[in-house]
Amino acid sequence: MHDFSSAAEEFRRTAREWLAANVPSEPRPADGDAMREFDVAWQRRQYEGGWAGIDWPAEYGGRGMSSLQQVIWFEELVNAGAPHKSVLAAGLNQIGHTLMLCGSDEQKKQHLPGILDGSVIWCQGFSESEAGSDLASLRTRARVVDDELVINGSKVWCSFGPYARMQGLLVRTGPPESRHRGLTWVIVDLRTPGVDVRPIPTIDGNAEFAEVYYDDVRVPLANVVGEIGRGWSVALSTLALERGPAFLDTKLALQMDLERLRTVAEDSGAFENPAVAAEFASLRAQTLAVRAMAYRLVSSGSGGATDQSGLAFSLYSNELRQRVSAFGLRVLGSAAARMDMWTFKWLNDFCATIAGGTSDIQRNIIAERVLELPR
Amino acid sequence: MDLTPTSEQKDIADSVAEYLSAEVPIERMRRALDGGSLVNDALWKQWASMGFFSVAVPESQGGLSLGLIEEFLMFGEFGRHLAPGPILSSVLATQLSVEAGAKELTARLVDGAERVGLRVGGTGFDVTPGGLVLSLSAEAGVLERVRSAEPVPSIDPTVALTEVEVGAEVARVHGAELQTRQWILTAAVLLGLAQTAQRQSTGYARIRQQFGKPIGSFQAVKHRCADMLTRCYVAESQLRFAAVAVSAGHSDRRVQAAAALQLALDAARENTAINIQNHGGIGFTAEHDAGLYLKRAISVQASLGAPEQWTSVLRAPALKEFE
Repeated sequence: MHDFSSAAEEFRRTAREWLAANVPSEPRPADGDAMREFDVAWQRRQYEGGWAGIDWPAEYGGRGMSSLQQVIWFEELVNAGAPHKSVLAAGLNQIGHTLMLCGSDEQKKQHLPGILDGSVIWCQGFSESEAGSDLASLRTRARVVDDELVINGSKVWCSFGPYARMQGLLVRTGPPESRHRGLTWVIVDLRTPGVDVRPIPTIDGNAEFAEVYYDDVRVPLANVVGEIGRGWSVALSTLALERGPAFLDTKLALQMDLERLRTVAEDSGAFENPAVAAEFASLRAQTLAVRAMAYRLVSSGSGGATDQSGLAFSLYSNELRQRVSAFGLRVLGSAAARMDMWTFKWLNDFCATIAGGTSDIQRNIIAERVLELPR
Repeated sequence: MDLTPTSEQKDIADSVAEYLSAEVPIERMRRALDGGSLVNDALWKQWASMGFFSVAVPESQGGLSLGLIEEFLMFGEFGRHLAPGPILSSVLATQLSVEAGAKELTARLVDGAERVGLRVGGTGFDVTPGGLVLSLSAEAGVLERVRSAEPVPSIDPTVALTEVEVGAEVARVHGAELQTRQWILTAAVLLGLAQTAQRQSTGYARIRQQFGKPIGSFQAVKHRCADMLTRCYVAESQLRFAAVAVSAGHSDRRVQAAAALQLALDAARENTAINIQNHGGIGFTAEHDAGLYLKRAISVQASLGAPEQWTSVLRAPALKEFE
């Protein structure tokens, strides 16, 4: 155990300097093309400034630095009030890292640069209407015909699907009852004939969710990541990444959200209520722990993205997100009836304990894999 | 920033853990509870010679010249093994004495000639008549001579509770830094209690059979065990971060320590309580150790005094950005 090195402090200082001069000052548009262009332009600016992919290998356009520096960069993004990855999140988080771990050299060369510079938006296609927590029961089917996969079926809950051009898709190539043994992870260009992306409006008023239909969609076999029939292990690494360092930026933002809510509470007088102040104190301790867990995740001997300790961290911070938002509602008082950024956040955060495996499934995994309790 | 202890940092804690399992097991403590003292002078002296009270004391004054990291890792073992006696207050008193420049007193504390209880208002924790007692606030850390200590019933049978009156003041320092240290070391003890409760529950859930299968296969039990582990992980992470912040003298060290204390306290109170439920009827009996951990958690909490001391730090302004 030791403190930040002087090199780490120096990295933080230069990051802070660059962000002070470069974080967009105009507000992020709420939706549509303007929103997409805003997110893409911000990623582009980071890329051109040399600040994209801090811990990505240099051969894929990254900086090739340590996970610790990646966490420091995320912290400085939060400090600076910089926009989140948003429409680019799936690519920059789980898809990009999945390709780095499991993709062929050709796939890495073809896709990673476009993910990192923000020019190509990705989404994930895992869940189906009948395959949620029981992901291995999924039914979207792919037949091998010559050197192509022919895909039929549908996917749901694809975040930013309406904005995406590419998709990381999990399909069944084995017999219907083959469960996790008969799955394949494949890259699909959503402009391919037979693909139909339909937005699904969500409880927060957004239309960033989508269902995707596949009607005889033909995809080259070269797009298979890993091997045919080995998609489950690729998907597991994707799911593990959803609990790893890549997602730390939104976790670290919790502390700043809470500090902003304190200002709201002070301005409205709500903070004078001792119960509100006490709840704030408790949440302050909890959000501080998020930062501690972020640094622990990248400490020596920790397994990084696939570390099982990431499970407890993820479960906790996802539920904490909802506690912070609920505190926001309490602080707003009767203004909570109004739709604004805090009520939006409160609604939006209901997905925190569903996406990437529900909190119930996370508890099963902690109990069975870490504590070795029987299934 | 690295939050993984090195093997050198863990050395002391590992040897203390080994020693406590072999020499001060809970069964031995249970025998001592039927009359007799839990920690007699010989045992206290032995602990002194093992360096329990002098980990962070400079070598020139008889200590090991190590730091808060090694010390809090050791206190985690005290919590895990339910170590009895006023170890925490004696270690803090030694620190106070070093800071006050009371070399003679430091020497007596380091070699175990004095043990120091803790006073919160009129209540004494493991106070010995004629001995020394520590009281702590943000304003001051004070060592006083005990004038009288009348036993009162203690919820925790491994802690001697008294109504205490004090006489002459022996030493005094400014309180904030010492109190911050108290928060870190107390958090370590509480985390140890929470971790043992978690291990007891998980172990029992694996072997206890009902309806023809281990109760750990039922989600109601399995999820409680997962939550116990998560509480420990959260509290341990914050404790490590806070200990580094205090060691390095960061400007936010006090709020970091307050957060570590609050989370460890939550983990200890919740885990030791749910541990009773996970064990069912046997957990409710005096025979099972689960009750001892439950009671120690509440006793340690009471020894901290008013929660306002650290919750006021937690709700203070500032924290504009990470440092």
